[in-house]
Amino acid sequence: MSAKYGVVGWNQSKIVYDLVVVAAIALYLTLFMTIGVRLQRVSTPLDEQTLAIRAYGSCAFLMLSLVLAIGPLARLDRRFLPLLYNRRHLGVMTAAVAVGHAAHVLGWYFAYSPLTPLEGLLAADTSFGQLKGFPFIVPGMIALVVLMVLAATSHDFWLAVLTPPTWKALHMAIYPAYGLVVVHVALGALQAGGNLPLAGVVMVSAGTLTTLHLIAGFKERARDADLAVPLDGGVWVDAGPLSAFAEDKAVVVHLGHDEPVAIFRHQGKLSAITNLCAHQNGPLGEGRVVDGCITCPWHGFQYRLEDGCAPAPFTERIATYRVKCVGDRVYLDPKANPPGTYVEPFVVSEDASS
Amino acid sequence: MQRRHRIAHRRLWLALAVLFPVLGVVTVMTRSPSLPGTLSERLSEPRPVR
Repeated sequence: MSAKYGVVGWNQSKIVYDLVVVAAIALYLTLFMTIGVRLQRVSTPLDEQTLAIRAYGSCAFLMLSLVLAIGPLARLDRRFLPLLYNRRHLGVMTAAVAVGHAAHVLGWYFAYSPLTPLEGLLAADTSFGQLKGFPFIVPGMIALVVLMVLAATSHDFWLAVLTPPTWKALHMAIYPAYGLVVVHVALGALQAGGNLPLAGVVMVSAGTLTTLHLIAGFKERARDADLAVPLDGGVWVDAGPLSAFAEDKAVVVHLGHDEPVAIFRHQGKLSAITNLCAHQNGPLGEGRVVDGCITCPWHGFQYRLEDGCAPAPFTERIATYRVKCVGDRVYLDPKANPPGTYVEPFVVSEDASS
Repeated sequence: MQRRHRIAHRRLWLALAVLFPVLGVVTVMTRSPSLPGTLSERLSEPRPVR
């Protein structure tokens, strides 16, 4: 397996998107540090560095909240799908703003420390045994490291190298990282008291994101359950009407199993295999059937439909599934067979097809 | 998103849904009280004589 690194494929939409985001960040920081000076209470005047720390920190928090809201919104309502476009760029810029926040902290609080800034940061407070005065910097630091790792691996190159399932699992670290950011803010700025606007922003962000993600998650679970059908003493998945299965085309079933499954109709027979190519998880359901083998649209890897084995001399194998037709409905056994397991293709009767 | 990712996703957000209210209570119970009065008022208060 190999993957070549390619630079970001810029187009005009991406350039405009990034310019708008950068301009919005610059505007927020400028307004925070100019208007913020006038809004602060006389009893607690803030210096310029502290204002910058708060400006960068609150900006990164708002951006992270926005990034995390896009996914569930798009899953709940397709009208939000355009927001998914360039979400990775928004995430990378969020990490950059968070680094700006950390740089201002190190420059202000540890500039004259005899220790290095990182040592100073870690040694400044080690009272982990108490909630009041908890070293809130540590959860913030861990979250920052996670954000930086995710930003560094956001490129398609890493998606190809790590494979989509691993990449997705890695990038789900953003959720615990968000939890750590909330801990960082709550036990830091909010515990210090007196910052009602920030408290409001954190409560609205955490409440909204939790609600959105849970609604989207449980809606998907309900949809998963709806597809499960008791059949022949087991639970099968309703894959749709037979009329939806055109010759030499696949229907991809996304729900009800660990992997998306591609069900092919070839020479009047139905066969089901995993939709993920053994090479780089390419979408086999979008490939063409050539000589009885499905051909991955990405790199041309081939697999026989009946046993998921690559034709000799190749040795790749993928999982197969049982499929059957009852009446005019096609059903899939969601339990995957070991890669390379032969499954007799289901012969579609002419009556069922009509 | 694969099923195992969807399950992990639901569990993560359920955990966060428990964490956030607990964190809110902890923060309120441990927060520092705001200092009374403005800075000029506090500065003009007579200092204790040693």
